[in-house]
Amino acid sequence: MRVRNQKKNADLVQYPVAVRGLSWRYGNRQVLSDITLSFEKGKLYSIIGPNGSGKTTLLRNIAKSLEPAAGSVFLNGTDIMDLSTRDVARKLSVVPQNTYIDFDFTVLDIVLMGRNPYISRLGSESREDMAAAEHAMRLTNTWDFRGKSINEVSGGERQRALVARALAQDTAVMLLDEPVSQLDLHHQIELMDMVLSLSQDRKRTILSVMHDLNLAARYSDFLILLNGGRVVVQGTPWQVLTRENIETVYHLDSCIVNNPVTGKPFLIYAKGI
Amino acid sequence: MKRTTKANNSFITISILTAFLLMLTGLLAGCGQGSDKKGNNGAGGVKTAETKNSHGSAEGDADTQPEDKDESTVYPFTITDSFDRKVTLEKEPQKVVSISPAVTEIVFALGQQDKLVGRTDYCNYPEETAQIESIGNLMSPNIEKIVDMEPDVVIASAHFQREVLQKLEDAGLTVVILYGEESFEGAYEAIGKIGDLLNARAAASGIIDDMKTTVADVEKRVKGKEKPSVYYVVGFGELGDFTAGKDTFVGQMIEMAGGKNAADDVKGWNYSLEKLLEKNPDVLICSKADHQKEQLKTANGYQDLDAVKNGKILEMDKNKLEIQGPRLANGLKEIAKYIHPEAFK
Amino acid sequence: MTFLQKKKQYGILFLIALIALFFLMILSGTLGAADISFSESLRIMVSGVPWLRRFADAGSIRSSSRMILWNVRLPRVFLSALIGAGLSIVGATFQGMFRNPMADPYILGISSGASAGATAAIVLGWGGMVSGMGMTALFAFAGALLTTLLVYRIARVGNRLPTLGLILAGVAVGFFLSSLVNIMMFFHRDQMERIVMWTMGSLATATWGQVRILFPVVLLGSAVLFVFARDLNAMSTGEETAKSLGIEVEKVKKFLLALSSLIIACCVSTAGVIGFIGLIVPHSIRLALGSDQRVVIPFSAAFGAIFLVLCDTLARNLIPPSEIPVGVVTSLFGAPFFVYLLHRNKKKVM
Repeated sequence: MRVRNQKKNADLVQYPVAVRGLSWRYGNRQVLSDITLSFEKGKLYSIIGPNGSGKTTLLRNIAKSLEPAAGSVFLNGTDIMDLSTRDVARKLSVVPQNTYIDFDFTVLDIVLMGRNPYISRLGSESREDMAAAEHAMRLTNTWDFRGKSINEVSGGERQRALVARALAQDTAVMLLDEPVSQLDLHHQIELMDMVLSLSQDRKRTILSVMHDLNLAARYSDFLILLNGGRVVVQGTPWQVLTRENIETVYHLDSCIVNNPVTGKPFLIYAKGI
Repeated sequence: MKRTTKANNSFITISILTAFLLMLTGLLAGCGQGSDKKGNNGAGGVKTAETKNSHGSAEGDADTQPEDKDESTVYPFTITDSFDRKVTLEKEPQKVVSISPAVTEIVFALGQQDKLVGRTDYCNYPEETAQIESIGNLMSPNIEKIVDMEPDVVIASAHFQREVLQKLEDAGLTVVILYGEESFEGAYEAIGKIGDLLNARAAASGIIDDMKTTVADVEKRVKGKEKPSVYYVVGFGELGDFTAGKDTFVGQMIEMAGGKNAADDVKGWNYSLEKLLEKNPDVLICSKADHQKEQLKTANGYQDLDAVKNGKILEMDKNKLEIQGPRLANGLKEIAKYIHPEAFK
Repeated sequence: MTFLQKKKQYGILFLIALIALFFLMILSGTLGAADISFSESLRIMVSGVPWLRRFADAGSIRSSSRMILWNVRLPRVFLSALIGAGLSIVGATFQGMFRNPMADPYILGISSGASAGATAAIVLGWGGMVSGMGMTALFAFAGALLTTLLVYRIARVGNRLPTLGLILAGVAVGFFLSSLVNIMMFFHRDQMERIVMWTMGSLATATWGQVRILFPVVLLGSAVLFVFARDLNAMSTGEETAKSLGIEVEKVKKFLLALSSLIIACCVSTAGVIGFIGLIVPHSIRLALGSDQRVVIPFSAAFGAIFLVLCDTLARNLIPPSEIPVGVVTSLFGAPFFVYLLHRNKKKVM
């Protein structure tokens, strides 16, 4: 049993999230091998890579849903295993992929659940909690349908509500697991615009697992490209999205152009190799 | 922490294993015995010990007073019942509730039916029982109703639950549980004890003497005669084949009546159709209720038995054999008369 | 409208439910197989309460009537209320914990365990009483708890308790124990009726002793479960989600499992297996008032109590002096009502 040693690792304190030598396996399969990453405060990171590269697994390890087989995750220098579940929840929030909830909660109820880490078991939601929830919902444009059942609203609205919940959790770090994969084009842009604004205004560090390379390129400060459980390359979108990298990892011939609207790289896929 | 988890594990495993071992014991106990009959289960284990107890009780009890056969009962009167409880009746009871068909029959036979204020749904002999209010069924009688009747004594029999006894006693009622081994002696004892309780000793000894005479007469008449094989039908068909094994009272009565129990190779109540067909008994005994005789004529397997083809089926009121009461002797005689008619001319 | 905004309304509604329960219990106390008039029963009840004694004179009433009311009827009414509440609350908790609106308190095989224990006691002939509690009850209680332990051991993976594994283990163990019961019944045909009667559930031999045991168990248990209502809310949206919201999911699961099993073991060992309540009461509350456990748990308790008191009253007054086993009444009368609710909420069905 680990002794709760909250001794901080001095040189990692500056990073809201840091990963050192992280490995994880599922049965015989090595899903992540020796991942080392440092995430800077206030930046928006996208983790990209083909299916099976370990993106979601990496996110789940950072969120403490999974326990590493080797290596560690550090939040502001403290090993995540030395933090209680509640402590982690105050530093780190998660927006899951859109899942159907069998039960009839209102949107506001769902968002208020984000305040859980701050409410003692015997206590109840305070005015402060309500204010935080309202604030989060206004930011995400979900306040107007707060009384509706979470299952009645559209997919886009539901996803925004989940982001509101993570916002209400008032954490320095926010993790998103393929937040827009289920949404139509309009809602994809709408949601990512909102996420981007959160990062710029709040000094909040955001890690997002993304499927769509172009969206990732458009909205992120940095990209991390995974393949086969290892970090292939990390850096700015222009540094990561190169023809060679795409070829190596995705086995696709491609062409990278400059998106005139965003100034970010835009990927045009040619043919499979 | 690893160590405590291991210790925890073994503790848990052991307790679970013990529990299942207990259940398996119950199972094996069932396979081995088979002589557990309806009358005697559920209220404490060993019957022989209890019967011995009742016979060898201290003075002041009714159990060992053969010479006072015709005297009135002296109250306050203490009796040791079949749950081994000493129960005292302060005076002669005027209101009695019976939670057993046997008890009801005996009370009527003793001529004490005016005292009877309550009986079970299953008490249907004699016909006059219909005029007495019912208190529900044998195992879970309506406690409210019984208390409402304000009886001086409640007499119950074998199927009685301890929890019901507890509740009745909590309500301040006097309860006596009477059942003996399933035999003529057991019936005599029950009749005698109820006679004591209700101040009807003379009537009780009269009934017992009559029964003894009948039984002795039957045994004398069938002595030395050839014994036809007799099969007692309890159940047949989809629900299985059941009869009276060699250790059952009915099985013994068949022998006493001058027959040979076809199922004397088993204990208990289970039998197999194949064995029955093999044995091909001379006579079948079945119940008058449910039109069993008609059903047997078309039942699979049974219809091929010689006894069925020849119509050698005795249809009788089963209660004469199964209720530990005054009609047992009649039941015995009925069987004897059927299988040895020439002895009764 | 959320829980917080409706808090006041819920409070009032709950109070009304409790008052309804109270009056129902009194009414139930006036009904029974014995010949006691309505006014007589009221007078007896009032005179039995220390502070109210001067308002009613019950001296003229037969002592047997008073006995019936206080020793036979009232313990039964109280026991029904407690057991109804206990079963419903655990049902509500399981429905949240397993994220399955069709879960009921017996989903982990606990009823089979209790039956197996009771059957063993009956079959081994240990029908006696030990310090006021029947051996059958004690055995049933032990059987129930041991079953939970077994299911827990089977389902546990390292330090975690996967919910799917729990359910599957519960089903498997339940089947196994039911088979054991059937085997024991087969080899002891003469005891079959007794065993089946026990299983069908009955409150006929309710005693104040039983009420005294169940009262703290159900009340405290409900209070504690209510405290975990918010945790359950979060858990019903997903276990990983709940964990990311700061809830120690595995610990909470183990604790809730243990507490629920204790409550159920007490209920089942006292009155047999009374089915259906633990499923439909919480589910109906959910359909009517939403899924927030802070609402579902207290209202399930209140309406569970009301429902079982109602069913028991029917059970013993429909065909006097015979009694219908209460488990039969709950299904017979509960099922059509439930279908009606489902029909009304077709859109919202699961």
